[in-house]
Amino acid sequence: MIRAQDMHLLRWPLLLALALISLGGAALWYAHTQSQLATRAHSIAQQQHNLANRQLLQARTDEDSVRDTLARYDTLARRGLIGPEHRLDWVEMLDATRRQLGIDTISYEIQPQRPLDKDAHGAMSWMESRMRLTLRVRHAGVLLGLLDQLHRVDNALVLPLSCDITRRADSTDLDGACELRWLTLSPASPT
Amino acid sequence: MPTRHLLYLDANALHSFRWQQGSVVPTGRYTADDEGIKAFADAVRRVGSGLYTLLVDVVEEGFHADTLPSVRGPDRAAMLERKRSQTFFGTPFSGALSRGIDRSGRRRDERFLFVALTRPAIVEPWLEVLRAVNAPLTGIHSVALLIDSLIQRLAAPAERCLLVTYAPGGMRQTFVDQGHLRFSRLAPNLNAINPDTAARCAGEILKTHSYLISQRMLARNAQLPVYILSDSDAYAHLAPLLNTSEERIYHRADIAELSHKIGLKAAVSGSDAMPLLLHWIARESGLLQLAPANERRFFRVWQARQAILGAGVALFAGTLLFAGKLWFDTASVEATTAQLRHEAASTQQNLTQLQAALPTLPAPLDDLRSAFQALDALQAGKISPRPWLSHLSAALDATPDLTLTSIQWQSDSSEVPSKGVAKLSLPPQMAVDRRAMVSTAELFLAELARSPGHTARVTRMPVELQSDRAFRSSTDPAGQPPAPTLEVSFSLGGSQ
Repeated sequence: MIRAQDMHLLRWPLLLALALISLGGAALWYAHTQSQLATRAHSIAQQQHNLANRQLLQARTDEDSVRDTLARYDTLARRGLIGPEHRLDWVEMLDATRRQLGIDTISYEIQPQRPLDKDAHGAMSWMESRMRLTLRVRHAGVLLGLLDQLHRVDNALVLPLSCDITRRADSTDLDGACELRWLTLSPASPT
Repeated sequence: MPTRHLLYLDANALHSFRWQQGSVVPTGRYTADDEGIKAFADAVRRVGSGLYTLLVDVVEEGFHADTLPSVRGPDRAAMLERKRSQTFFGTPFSGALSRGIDRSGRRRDERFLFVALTRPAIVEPWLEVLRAVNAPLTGIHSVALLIDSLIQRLAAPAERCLLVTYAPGGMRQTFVDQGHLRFSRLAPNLNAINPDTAARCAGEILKTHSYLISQRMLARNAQLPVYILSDSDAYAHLAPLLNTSEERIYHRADIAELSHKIGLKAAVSGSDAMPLLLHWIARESGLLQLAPANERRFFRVWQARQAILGAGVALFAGTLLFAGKLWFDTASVEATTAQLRHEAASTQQNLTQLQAALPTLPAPLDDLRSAFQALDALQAGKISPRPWLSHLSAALDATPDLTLTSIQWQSDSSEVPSKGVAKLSLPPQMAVDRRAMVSTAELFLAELARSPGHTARVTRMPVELQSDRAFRSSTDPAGQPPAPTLEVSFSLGGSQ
């Protein structure tokens, strides 16, 4: 049994043991800190490595796609779908179709061009010009034929938005009123 | 390892030894007087640190065998302490050796051998010297108790025998019964076998034999093997004087062989067993010792210091080992990180070269893809009023009574690709037949909604029959009734 008065004899061993434990603890803390730093750096390097691999893989995958996309862009640009509107061509084509289908009475109005989606942020944006078209036809088939012809236009994408057809009270003719969208692609973002 | 100081005390002097690499090296002899004690005190102060173990070999020993109830824990310690103080009143140097459970009685008892140094004054001056310098005393041992533990190492231990050993304290005869110490007797001044003492040695053996018989420790006419621990030269002096009979058979236990068995490296010759006994104390742990707890407190302090330092060193080593492992792992991770960075840089370089070789796009690839996907979707939609009108025409063909007045078609909703409202008129003559008008309207509505996915709804009936609307009718014969009208809303490929 160790008496209380003998405890002073254990002072130096206790201090030495504490010093050793502190020294060991400090070494452990330092090694642990270095380990954490190394692990963090490894994680970042792993992410960068994965990102670079993904980008390279994507680039190789996109290589053919880039060439196809560029070819299609050139084709559409040559057709006139991409770039400024060709309103004169549209009007001439409309007149030619009117004559071809025997439509005597026709009037239309093309409104100012505007973005199809005001919230779009891409470098390519769809632009629309709305056309209000009123005409008098013998039957609905003539109107449908006119719309089919407009659908074949190269330098714009023409989409009917609405059509009202009313039978005239004084004859068998029909009054037609349609609203059309003339869509083109603009390579620059509208301001 | 600390220095082990082994002290042998007999009635005349204290012999000091140092235990060193399996050998017992003498360091001094101090006579049992003031001068000797002072010299011993000087030597202890000079030597300084180390553990001290005292072996006492004197006549003033007491042995008492007893049987006590077998108990455990604090009760056992208290019972043995009480019994020791009763048996050996006046000495603190006593101990109890368990001899196992006594199975002869009905009660569960345990046999004990109580041993004590009955004259503390012999030991006290030497202990005082050790106390003065706070020297750690591991224990006080008795030669008889040492022989009890050593007896199993004899070449041919007998169930019952008499072992004769010699040391500076004298000739000790230890009677062993059932393999354990039963009685021990010291004859002073016979510290070795030589031509002068041989006859007295032989006589002491005869005396002890007679005593054992008289005390009924040994049956009359029973055979008693007598082992004499010595070398052959010393035994040669004694052997001619030993009268071998049927009651006593003498053997020589070779002291060198036993010393070798217990690991004593120094050569032992003659009949002096002291080096052997001291070596046995030093190397064997768990021997019964007779010192009270307060005499050993500095040894306990020494043990506590060793434990504290040992724990500190062990923890330090453990943390260093773990830190080393962490350090090694960190180095491995850093090497992997460097490899990853190198590979990433190489990949990035390849990517740059690949991108440089690609043609320049007028816009980012993703934006172009998105625009072309929208173009494909718009072209694939084929937005046209033709399907809607065709469906309306088919329904009109099925209901010839209806005449189309006007239509309003629109396709401004992506969910409903094509929908509209058709206004129709019924024949004027049907105006008086409300049931026919309702029937015609329902038939037309059913035709419009016939195909799956098409929905149709009447927005205006020729006859208002709903309870929540006003119903008007006139029977004026002068007026021409107006043609009844029907208004229908329907859609293709969606819900309305």
